[in-house]
Amino acid sequence: MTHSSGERMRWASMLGLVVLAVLALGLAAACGGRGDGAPAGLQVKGAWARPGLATPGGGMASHAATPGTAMGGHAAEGGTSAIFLTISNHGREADRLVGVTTDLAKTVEIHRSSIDASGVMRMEPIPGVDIPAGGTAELKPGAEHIMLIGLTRELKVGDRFPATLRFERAGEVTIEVEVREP
Amino acid sequence: MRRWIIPVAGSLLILLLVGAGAVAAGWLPVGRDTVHGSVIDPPLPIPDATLTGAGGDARQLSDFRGKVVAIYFGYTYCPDVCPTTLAALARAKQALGKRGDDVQVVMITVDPERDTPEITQEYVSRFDPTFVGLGGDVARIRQVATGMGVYFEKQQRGSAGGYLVDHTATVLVLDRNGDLRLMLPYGLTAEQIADDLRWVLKQ
Repeated sequence: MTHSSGERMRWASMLGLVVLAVLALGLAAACGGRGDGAPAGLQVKGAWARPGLATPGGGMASHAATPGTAMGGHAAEGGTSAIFLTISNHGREADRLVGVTTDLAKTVEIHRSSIDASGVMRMEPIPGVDIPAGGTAELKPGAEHIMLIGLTRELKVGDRFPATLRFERAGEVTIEVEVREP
Repeated sequence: MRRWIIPVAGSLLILLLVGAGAVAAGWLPVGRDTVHGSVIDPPLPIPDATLTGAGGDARQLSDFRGKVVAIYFGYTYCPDVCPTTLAALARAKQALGKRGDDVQVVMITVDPERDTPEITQEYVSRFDPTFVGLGGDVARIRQVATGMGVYFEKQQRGSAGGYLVDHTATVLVLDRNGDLRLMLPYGLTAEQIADDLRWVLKQ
């Protein structure tokens, strides 16, 4: 029976090796999953922006000729646009979108549009957008959106540009935004 | 006995079921036309008003009589709700084909400080070259808006872009006589708007 007990030992050690290898592979896969541009389990999908001109309304009209603008001082020089996207949080902790930067606009703010029961639309800057753990935040027309103020160049259908999203936990995530009609 | 009863009753039952199915699937309209907006009945006469078009020429709302006029109060600085609505109106007009020639879309700015009539016109032309953009003196614009139950108000909410403007986002549809006939709430699809414009064109 010594023969069979030695064989059993060999089998046991081989099984141990296999288990270790599987564990190592699993660990590698888990770590590798973090490195695909979506830190802490955040996934950003379907980022798009509306076309927009570098001056509001047109391009030929002289903005300085508008008296209200000269008085306002900080009014947007350049047109506006908005970025819409969906953020999914596959992680175990809630996160929050707190800022966005892009070379395409002088100022970027997170805004919320809402329509009340009497049909009045109001738009206001908000400090951030929460993405609950295991949840999704949808930035879409008529709701939260990333407002681009003072476009530095024209945004045409088909253009693509990078934007960097800043999250409270996940840090910075750079995405590509496609310009298209809704 | 009356052998015909069973086949006839059976056929009637089948027809009834097919009909109900077709109605449910939306192939057969019930009550003729489906209107998605709110119908104003009887049509409400609105006071005429003079606004300013691109190039500084005076435009009266009554200039558009004979056409169905879809009026939207908005502003070019608005990146969200206004372009959504104007794009839907443009697609709805396209969907009407030749009949779309009898529909005039007009945007009246609620931000005349920043939107000159020229800026307003250029902005709406991007959605459809036949759209008309009107502006003018803020008191005049307010008078026209109030006459149609439209509210707008400048708001300082700490945006780097300066002030924002709260405004009624409803599209007001005037019939060929220039009377208010239909109100389209924000969020209707282009297809729904096309249905409603078709209905007003038939009135």
